[in-house]
Amino acid sequence: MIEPRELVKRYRAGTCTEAERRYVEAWLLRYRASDDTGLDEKDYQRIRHANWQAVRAQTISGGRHAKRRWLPFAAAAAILALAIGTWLLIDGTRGVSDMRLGTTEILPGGNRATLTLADGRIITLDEAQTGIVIGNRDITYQDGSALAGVIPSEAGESLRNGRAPSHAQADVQMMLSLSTPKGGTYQVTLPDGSKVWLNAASTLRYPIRFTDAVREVFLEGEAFFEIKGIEGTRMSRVPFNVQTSGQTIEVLGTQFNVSAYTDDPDTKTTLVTGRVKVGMSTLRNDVPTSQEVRERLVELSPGQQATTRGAAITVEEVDLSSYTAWKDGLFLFDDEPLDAIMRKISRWYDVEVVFNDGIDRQERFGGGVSRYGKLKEVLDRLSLTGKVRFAVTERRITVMP
Amino acid sequence: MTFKPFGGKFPYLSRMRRTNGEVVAYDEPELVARLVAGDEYAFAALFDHYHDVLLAFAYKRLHDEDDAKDVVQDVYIRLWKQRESFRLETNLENYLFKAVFNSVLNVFKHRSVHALHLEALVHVIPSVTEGTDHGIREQDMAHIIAMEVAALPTKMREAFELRWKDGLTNKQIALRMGLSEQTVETHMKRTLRVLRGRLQVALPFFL
Repeated sequence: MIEPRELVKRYRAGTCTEAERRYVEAWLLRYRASDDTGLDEKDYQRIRHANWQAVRAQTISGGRHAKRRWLPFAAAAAILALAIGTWLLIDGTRGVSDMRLGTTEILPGGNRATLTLADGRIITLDEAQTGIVIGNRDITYQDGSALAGVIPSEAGESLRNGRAPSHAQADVQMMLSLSTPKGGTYQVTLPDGSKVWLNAASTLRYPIRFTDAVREVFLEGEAFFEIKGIEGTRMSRVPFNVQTSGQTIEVLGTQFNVSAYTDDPDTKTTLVTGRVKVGMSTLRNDVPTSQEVRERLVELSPGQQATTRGAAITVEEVDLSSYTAWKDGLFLFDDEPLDAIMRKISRWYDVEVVFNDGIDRQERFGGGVSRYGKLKEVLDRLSLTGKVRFAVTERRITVMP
Repeated sequence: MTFKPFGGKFPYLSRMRRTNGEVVAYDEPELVARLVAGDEYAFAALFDHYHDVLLAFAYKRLHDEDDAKDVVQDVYIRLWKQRESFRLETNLENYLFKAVFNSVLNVFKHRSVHALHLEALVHVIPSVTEGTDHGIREQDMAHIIAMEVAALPTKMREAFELRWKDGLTNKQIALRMGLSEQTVETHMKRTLRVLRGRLQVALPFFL
């Protein structure tokens, strides 16, 4: 490494190598940008984003066909209201359904979950209820009815006192964990009022009380978050972090979906409203020091998705509805690879999926269907494309060309 | 059902991504070549790379967020629309700054009130203006000076404007700003020196 002074000397003399020249110029650019202007970093980000949206609208998207929005969110909601279990706008050749179904009908998932208490007791939650609320003094179902006897002694004590235990250490120990099985979904309202919708085969671990320093939850699987960040309140200034094995998500008050299944190579965070920062998971020990991890944070704007695979993060604009529709009772696939679609079906209907030879797992399909129909209805519609057929025996689906 | 490599999606990162998903370091000559060829990723990478410095440049002179924002926006839209006629050997940084400079100047012309009183300044900064009056009208020169005055540090600008816009004497300025007359004098001298330097840098953009 050359000394900076020497580098500048060479730059002035014009004897730099190409790489050195770029290094000096990049530094100059940064230096000039940091010159006091009256705008702060947040202003720059905000304006940069607004400008990019405007520039893009008048350049790239104007020069080609606008993206085929084949199912806007409003439409998805309408479908839900009508509870129609039909595939919409499936493009591609329409073939004859050649699905051979087993005799047993496989039913969709429902409100199934267990709550693991700090002392290790596991409580099976009521299937007639949709969610639980972690209150100041107790844990209840969303309609206010009590979860009898769920509060472990030490946590119950602090809850009844209406304040968090004095030591952060104690908080760490008092983690609750909400788990859904395959074919299960459940909601939880966290102590700060934030809401989380948990998809099938997922686990959310969270403290019974948040500390003043950080609100942190751990997710494996998929969840939709609606984080409370009311301006001016004390809690809004406490950072909210979602930790998964692939990504660490720093929330700045917002709605977003996180998919972090261990059987999926990709961890995806999709932002609906507000702002989040996404980086490599700090839980991973194969990533470098925390400083470097911090530098790799990518800030998302609404409509963007950050995907982590291995050590790479990519950001792209996505069709939001296809990543959040599950929460509203829909499967919505926007040109999704077959294996990803089958993973979702497998989790929700609690079935095993086997691919026969000759199946292109990466082939993409698009369409929507209610999650609350029978498995047969979903597979039926998929096979309408004429590109795949299914055989179902017991709880196993075989995908055939 | 068909696989679309772009899929209408777009990365928005300070680093860029090749079409095969590989993330690579900023390489301007390559990016410019790809921009000319109509590569959207390259355009996004160049947008990210220069946006903030261009915005800073415009904002410092305009002191108005919306105006600065619009100026930078237009410059990028033009860059994309004229990409095919963009010559590969052109220095992109110069091109962008020149474009922003000229757009800012146009905003100044529309806000002409600011410039009027500064016309006298044209004669105060002879070292810059002497050699250039064949190409630039006095009016334009006044606008350019007004623009560079706007980019001065706050205190310097305040003192300078009191003198050249409001016509106060150094003594009056000293009184108003709570400084000694000596300090104001030094301020003025330094300001003129800074301004000359800036104008010498700025004029090539304009010419």
